[in-house]
Parts: sequence; C-alpha cells; structure tokens
Amino acid sequence: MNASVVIQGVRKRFGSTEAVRGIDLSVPAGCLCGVLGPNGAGKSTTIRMLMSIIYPDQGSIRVLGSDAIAMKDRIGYLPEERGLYKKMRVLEYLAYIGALKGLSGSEGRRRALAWLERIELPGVERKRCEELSKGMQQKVQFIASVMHDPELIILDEPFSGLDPVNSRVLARIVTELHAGGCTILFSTHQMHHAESLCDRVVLINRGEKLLDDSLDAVRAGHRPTTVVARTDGPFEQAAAAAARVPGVASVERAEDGSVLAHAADRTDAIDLLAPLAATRLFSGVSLKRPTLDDIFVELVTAHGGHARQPEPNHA
Amino acid sequence: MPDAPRHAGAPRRVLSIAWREFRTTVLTKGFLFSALVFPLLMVGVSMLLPILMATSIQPMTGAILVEAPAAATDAMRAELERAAKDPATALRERVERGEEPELDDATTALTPIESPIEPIAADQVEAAKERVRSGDALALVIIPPASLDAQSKDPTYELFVATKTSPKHTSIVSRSVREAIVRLRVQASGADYQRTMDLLKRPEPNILRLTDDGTEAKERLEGRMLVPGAFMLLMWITTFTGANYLLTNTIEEKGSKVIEVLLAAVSPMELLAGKILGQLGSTAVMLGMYGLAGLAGLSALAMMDLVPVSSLVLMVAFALTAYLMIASMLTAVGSAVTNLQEAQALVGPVMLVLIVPLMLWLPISENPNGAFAVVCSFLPPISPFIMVLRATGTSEPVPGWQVALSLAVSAASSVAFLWLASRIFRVGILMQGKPPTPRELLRWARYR
Repeated sequence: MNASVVIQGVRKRFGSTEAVRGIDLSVPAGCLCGVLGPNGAGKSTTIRMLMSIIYPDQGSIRVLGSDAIAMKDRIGYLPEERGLYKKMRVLEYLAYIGALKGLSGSEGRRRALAWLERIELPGVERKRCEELSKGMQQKVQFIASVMHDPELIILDEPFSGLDPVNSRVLARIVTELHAGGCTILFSTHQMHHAESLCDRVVLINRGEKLLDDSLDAVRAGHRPTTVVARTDGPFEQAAAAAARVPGVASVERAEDGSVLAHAADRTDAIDLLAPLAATRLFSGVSLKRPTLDDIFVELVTAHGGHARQPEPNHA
Repeated sequence: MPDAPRHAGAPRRVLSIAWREFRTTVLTKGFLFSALVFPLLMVGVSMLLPILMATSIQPMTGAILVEAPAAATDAMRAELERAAKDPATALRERVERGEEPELDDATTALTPIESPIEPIAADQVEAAKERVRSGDALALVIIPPASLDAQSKDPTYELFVATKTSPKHTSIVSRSVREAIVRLRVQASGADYQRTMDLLKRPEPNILRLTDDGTEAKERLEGRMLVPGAFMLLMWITTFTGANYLLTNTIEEKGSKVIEVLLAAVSPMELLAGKILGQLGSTAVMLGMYGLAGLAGLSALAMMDLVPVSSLVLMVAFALTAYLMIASMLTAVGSAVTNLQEAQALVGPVMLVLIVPLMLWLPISENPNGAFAVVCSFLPPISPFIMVLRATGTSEPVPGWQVALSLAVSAASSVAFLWLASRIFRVGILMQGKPPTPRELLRWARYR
C-alpha cells in the first residue's frame, strides 16, 4: 500500500532541548492514525515539520510523495494553536481560507455553507467569528481544514476544548471522511478518542517513538495482567482469599465492589482464572483487557515518565 | 474525492492575501476618514473658502466723521472714492509700493464703500464719539494739522470706531486716512506725488542660480523649500502609515494564532509578499488622495508650475522603494513580537533612522547638491526621502546620474530588506515568549 506520510530519522532541536529524536514513521494511504503522547512529547513539533511549517535538523519527510509545501492544497491541517480573524464573518473567513487552498470564491462559499450544515452549525455564516462560542469556533476551524477535500488530513488535538456533544459530532465526521478514503493523522492525549477511531496508533514520548502498530496488534501485544473477580459476599474476605492465590501480586477494590487481582511478574493472568474460581467465593471471574490508556501509562512509565520539558516556545 | 475547481499557484495565493490585507485596512472607519474623507474635506474647504469669504462681505455704510483741515478731509474723500471705484487697482498700487498685503485684503478690496465723509468741528468731537458709539456713524477720524506738515517726523492721527465695527471697515478707513496724509505731506514738500510714489517702488528681484551644468534656474522659496518638503513629508507619512498597518496586523495575526492556519496553506514568503502587497495598495490610496488634495490646492493657487510631471513620477518611484524598505523592517519586527509594547522596543531604532530625513529637510533644501546631500542620497533606507527632497526642488537641477543611481541603490536595498525580512519573518512568526533582541533577529536570518 502507498504511504501518505514517510518520516525517516527526523530530529529537531530547539536550543539545548532535543524535541524530536530520530523518529521514523510511515502512514499508509487511507489509514486513520492516532499520534499519542503526553504533553510536550514532540507530537506538535513532528506535525509542524510534516506541514513544512518548521524544518527538521536531520532526516527526511515525504508527504503524498513530495514536500509538504508542494502538496499544501492536498493537505488539510488543523493546528493545535488555532485562531480566527475575530472581526471577519464566518463565511468570509472560510471563503478566504478556501481561496488560499485553491478554491474559487463561489466554490469556497458553496462548500463552506454545506459544511456548516454538515457540522451542525447552520445560520452562523453572517456572524463575526468573535461572536461564536469556543466550541463553535473550533468547528469553523475544522471546516477550514477540510473544506478543500484534502487527501491527507492532519489534526492536532482536534477534540481538546470540545464538549461531549460536539466531540461526537466531530468524531462522526472524522469517521465519515476516513470512510470516504481520506488518510487521517491526528494527535491526542485523550486515549478513548484514539481507541474508538483509529485503526493505527503511534506513541511518542520524550521525542522518541515508543509504539507504532495497528490497534488490534497493540492490544494483542499487551496481554491482560489483571483478573476481575465478582463477589456477592464481603469484599475483605474475598480479597484476602484472592491474595492467597499463588501468582497474585496484589489486590484492589474495583468501582463496582469486585476484586481486581493483579498478576505477579512472569505470571500469566489467564493462569489465575481457575485458582480464583476454585475458592468458590466469587460469582464470576474474567480477564481485564488493558485499555489503550493502560498501555499508554505502562509504556510511558517504563520510558521514564512523561513530558521531560514544556512545549518549546519557538520554532 | 470529488473534483473541484482549483486555482492553485503562488501568485493567486499572494493576491488573495493581498486583497484581504487591503480590504481589512481600507474598509475601517479610521482609514476611510484619514485617507479619503479628510483629503476630500481639505479640497472641499479650499474650494469653498473663497465663496464663504465672499458671502461674508458687508458693504461699508455709515458716515465717517472727520475733524481735520479741509485739505485732509478732501484728500481722504478722494482716497475712498478711488478705492470704491477701482478696488483692484488700489490694492495693486499698495502692493507695488511695498506694502505687505494682509490676509483679508482680497475681501477688503471687494467691500462696497458707501460711507459719506462728514466734516465736524473740534468742539463736536465728544458728540461725534457718542454717534459712533451708538452706531449712528461708522467712525471718527481726528487728524492734527501738524501731521500734514512736510517737516513733521512723527505724523499721527486718531481713529475711533465702535466695538461692533467690522475690522475690514476699520482697515479701509484707516488706509484712506494714511494715504491722504502721505499725499498731502508729499505735496507740501513741493514734490510731485505720483513721481514720488514711482520713485518709492521697490525693485522686484529676479534671482537666478547659475548651476554647474551651465543652466540658470529661477530662485523661488516655495519651489526650493516648501514643495520638496511637502513631497518628502507626504511620502514619509504615507509609507510609514502603510508599514505601520503591517506591523499591527502581523502582531494581531500572531496574537490570535491564525498565523499557523495560514502557514498550513501558504509559505511564509507568500504570506509576507501578500501582506506587503496589500498594504502597498492602501499606501497608494493614501498617497493618491493626499497627493490629489495637494495638487488641487496648488492648482487653486495657480502654482502648478512648481510640480512638473517628472517630480510626480520620481516621487512615486522612490515612494515604492521607501515603502518596501520600511514595510520589510516593520513586518520583521511584527513577526518577532507578541504585542505592541514589545514592538516599541524594536521599532525605536528603526524610527531613529527614519527620522533622519525630517531632520535634514532644511539643510538639504538649502544646499541640495552639497556633498552631504549627495552622500545621503545613496544611503538606504533614507536614500529615497533625501533624493525626493533634492530632485523635486526647482532651484538646482540634480544630475541625472545621481537620480538614477539613487533609484538603483534604493531598489536593490528594497530587495535586500525584503529578503532579510522574509528570513526573520519565517522564524519569528511562530515564536512565542520573550521578544528577541536586535542581535537575535539578525541571527534568525541565518537559520536554516
């Protein structure tokens, strides 16, 4: 499959801080790829280099088979630090951005109106941008990044600042665009969005890539380490019994009152199911599959914690 | 993906940015007033002023009471009749005699004079004053006989008017008294009045400057000082105002974080080019409007000969280079800072340089072909202003090669300034936090 984005050995330094340390990445065409990482991990710097807004000190970047500058009309980009011309009217703003992306004035206005309907923001076209709420402004900014029908869409933290209702609207549209054939790359530190949308995830921490695989492969590669044991009796008695099972390193109380039995190192959690059931204190036992959040925390912790430095304040 | 009409290409993107920049600047109340309404107002007022002044002319009526020897009374009556009959000739004669025309002389000359002269006796003076005070008479004039003596070294007279009397009417009466006394004193001396007046005419100088290239240029103060100064000031104000709009717009775009959205669609160079081009449009509007207002004023004063077409062409060419240099500097500053306060620290040194042409106005106007003026004409970024100051004067022609070389230096410098600004702009526009020092700005220019 063709790759929409190919990054090879990219490094970027800001003064004494190395923000990106030799990242390699290949995003296949048609993929919906989530770039995960804590704040300050180097996600936005990598994305800015992808967009040729800043340039790497080392390494090469190919976007849609070329330099991003040459491909700007075929890329949609929603930056993390987004802004609008406050005094401009919404339709005028979108038509202007559309013109910069190669659309004629009438086509830009037609598409802007259609997108405002699609993103559930009808009737705001005559309003000035400053009159919109933050969430509405974010939707307008999203339209500006996709209204020219790009082949590749790069969204930097698209869900930050959105309420749950608008997050769902945006997630739906991202899914639709992906289904329509777009390659989508979006960064987030909110794992549930990546988990529900992506078919591929890349984890970056301290400027290095820790993980790059399909979501299924990531899950498969991280075997369960915890067993959920439901009990109808007293928690203390059940927890004590679970703790005595060989191979259980620790127990804790789940939110619903169940016992969470964590497997010791070198113990497969699946091997704990039978011994726990044999205690006859539990009404059911099951494996607790690790969420992306769990995997994220595990990998980042193993990599020495997150966010070694604040976001660089300069290019 | 659905196929859509595309109009890609850097020129189109640059034009889109330029058009937005132009519209958002020109369609503001402040700009519309300062660049459009105000010059139109100036033209309107300059055209309306003579009409307003003409309509304010009130005929001079009411008796002028005169306590004086009969000869003086008769002479004064004759002066008034002459002024009433042919005011333009009377005014011209006064100017020819060396009298400085007053501001309202034109309207004074047009005032209809209908006041009769009424001689009074010395014992009627107090009653006459009362008549003047009450408005029954226009004025009371007392001319002592000694003032008519040809030997008198300090002739004088008294003129009483009411508080409400028009200054123009007072001026007409006063002038007729003065003329009458002079006429009688000259006659008393035995000389012929007209002959004496002719002898007193001051010669009009015809100053010509002999230039190095063998030509002779007529010396005119307004051509030597005022017109070049006006050209330079107009150029300075409009280019600086346009560039200042760029500074504030860039800071606003950076502050509102819209800049990264734009950079996702265009390159920093395209963005910079579009912004500079857009503000060039607004600068051209300002230059055009104020220039036309100035030309209208000169035309009204019949002084269009001071502004040959070549001067206008030169000013436009040099204004373009001046704008490009100032705009480059201020856009670079705007890209490097996050608010106007921070900008002031960096704009300060730029202003110190740009203020130099204003300080050199008088010395260079005095000696436009001196060594200092010649050297300054080749020093960017002040070169366009200095050359306009020199080349639009009427007293001394500037050698053509100097004009051409100055234009070439200014144009080349504009390109260099644009290049430097683009290097700083692409780095500074994404910067946040502490503003850079001038040295750091120059270091940015070397970044990859």
